[in-house]
Amino acid sequence: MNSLAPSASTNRPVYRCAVLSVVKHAYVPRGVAAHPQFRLVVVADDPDQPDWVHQRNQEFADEWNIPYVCDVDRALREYGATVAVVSSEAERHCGLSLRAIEAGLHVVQDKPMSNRLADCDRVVEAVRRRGVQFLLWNRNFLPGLVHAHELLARGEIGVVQSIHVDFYFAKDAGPPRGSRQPGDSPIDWLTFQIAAHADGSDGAIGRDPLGELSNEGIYPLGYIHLLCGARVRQVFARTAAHFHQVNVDNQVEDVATMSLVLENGVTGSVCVGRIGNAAHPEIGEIKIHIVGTRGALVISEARPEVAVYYRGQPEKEFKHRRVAIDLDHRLLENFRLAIETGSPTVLDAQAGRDICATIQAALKSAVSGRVERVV
Amino acid sequence: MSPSQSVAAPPLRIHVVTADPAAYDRVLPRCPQFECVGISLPADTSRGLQAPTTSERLLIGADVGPDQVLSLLGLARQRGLSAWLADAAVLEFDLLDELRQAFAEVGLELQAGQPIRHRPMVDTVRAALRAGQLGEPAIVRIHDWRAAAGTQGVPAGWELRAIRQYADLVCWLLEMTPDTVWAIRPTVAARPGTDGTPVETLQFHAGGPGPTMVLCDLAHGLPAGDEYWSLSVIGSRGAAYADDHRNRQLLFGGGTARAECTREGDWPLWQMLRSFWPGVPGKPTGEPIREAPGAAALSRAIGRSLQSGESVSLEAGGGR
Repeated sequence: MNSLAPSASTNRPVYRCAVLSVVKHAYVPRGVAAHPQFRLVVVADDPDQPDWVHQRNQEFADEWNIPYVCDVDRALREYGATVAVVSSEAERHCGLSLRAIEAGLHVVQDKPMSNRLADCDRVVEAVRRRGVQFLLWNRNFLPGLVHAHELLARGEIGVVQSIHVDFYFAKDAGPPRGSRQPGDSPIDWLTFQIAAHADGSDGAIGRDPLGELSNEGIYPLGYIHLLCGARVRQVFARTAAHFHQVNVDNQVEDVATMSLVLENGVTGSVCVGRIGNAAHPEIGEIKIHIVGTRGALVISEARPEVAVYYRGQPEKEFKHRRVAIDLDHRLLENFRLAIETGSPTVLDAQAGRDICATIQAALKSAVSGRVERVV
Repeated sequence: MSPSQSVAAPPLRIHVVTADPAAYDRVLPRCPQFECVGISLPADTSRGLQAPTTSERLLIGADVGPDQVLSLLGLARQRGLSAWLADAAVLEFDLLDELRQAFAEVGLELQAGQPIRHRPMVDTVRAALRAGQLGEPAIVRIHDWRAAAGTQGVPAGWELRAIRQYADLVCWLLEMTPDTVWAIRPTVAARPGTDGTPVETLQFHAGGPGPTMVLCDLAHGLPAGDEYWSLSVIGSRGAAYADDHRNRQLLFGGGTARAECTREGDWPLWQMLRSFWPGVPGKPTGEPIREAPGAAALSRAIGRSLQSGESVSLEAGGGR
């Protein structure tokens, strides 16, 4: 099991951070900046990017009153940054991270690590060779996860035998499956995702259509990595484009199930899906079930939470508000500790790469109908 | 048959075999369709049925083990009694079919139920499915964790019985048979000297044809005490979550609070009894299992997958 132990900082260097593209989850650089020892100093991207990319980068730079530089390499050279924060389209994640790593910067990268395993391999190799730290953004420090980790560390249920994670987002994604009328054009992925930015549900933005398993699978697999501390060896999976026309039109899944065998003999399973607003009153059922040799655990990722109801409440507003979420700070504390002591981050490049490999094998299994080995 | 006719029909005389007579004592008075002429423990029943009996049916409870079930069914047939078997999964489905045929050959009837079908949480999920409220199912997710009884540890044969129960439940809920399945067990060793008799667990993952996926996680041997059960169905129009986790109450008695589950009481047993009476007013929550070829094929495929370590295609004959 990986360590979640926090540590008090004794000396307090400030790490200057270059934000390399911020076209989707601005919460990543915002989360970095929330830690007092990390300071955003520049936003950068390549000049050949389309206008919508430059526009988003510029807006973020303006919001933080820092320059936007249309030259990544110059930004890495000239602003004294020691950390890069990457939140581009998924297919550009590893390329931007690699450039930062080669320039000697530590990297905080948005999820997923990549939709291409070879890109992940290059990052793993570069991180090792350059001796820098890499943190793949994750939810492993949410209170429910920390609690589960503590219970396992205390040996409350003995040795973990099996682990099962449900990770549903009860959100719509445009018109439902089957809504396309004869003569209608298929929904263009990138155009759809750009439009979805308004409500923050553009996590799969990019030229390459990204299914829900590829996009969100990192979270449940990150939990399994945290709680079991072992790579996945075999996977069997089923996928479907079941809910949303945009997924049907672009032939990527919006729901998936995986069964797993880990290298330490633990078995597991994952359900992941973007299952529509109607399927849950809150963000979605996110649960962890663990069976050990001497007991078992059922953990709701959402706890603790406070229920708030009032007249005129917007339909889409979450009525159960999660509280005591110290995710950003704990992730950055973990990253800071890794930089200063050389300890691994809670989800490092190798773990991110292994998760990508699991997802690739799962997608292959969903087509073959067979059990696939994770490389 | 109309409700008034069913109420007017003479009650069936039944003899119940169960390890828990008190439960039947509580519930049978709610079933005017039955006249209970005897309740006996499994070990006592053979002797009791040797004597002349006025009963017409033998009801074998879900808590009677497979060896005793076979013996009791043989005795019932010999004595000219039709039989109701509360849990079909106690026997191989093929064997059950053979026994059903053997009863029919002498003009008797053997019907079998499935206790999980009669759970109100299951019934509610199924009703939502049937009403179209959930749309086309995408994921059926099941957890069933059972506790060891005292020091006896995990009972032999629990795994096969649980597989049959859930193969039936899946096919019944979905009204289809999955075409592919992979089943696995963990291979983690217990810590010597600290874990005693470890929990046993397995899972099966089935899917197709179409988008529906099934994940079923089964465990036995939790420390004596509460058990855990959960069924969720994620559909194209909505979802249903039947989960013991949601039905927990808190008990504070010092130290960490206990999470006490508010249980379903006698409701499942009552529904099971109602299901055996075809003319009962109102729709029974579950019908006896007439035949279960899909569930039989799925449970066989699960067994083969556990043996081979590979996924098994039912269409390719893996369920035969």
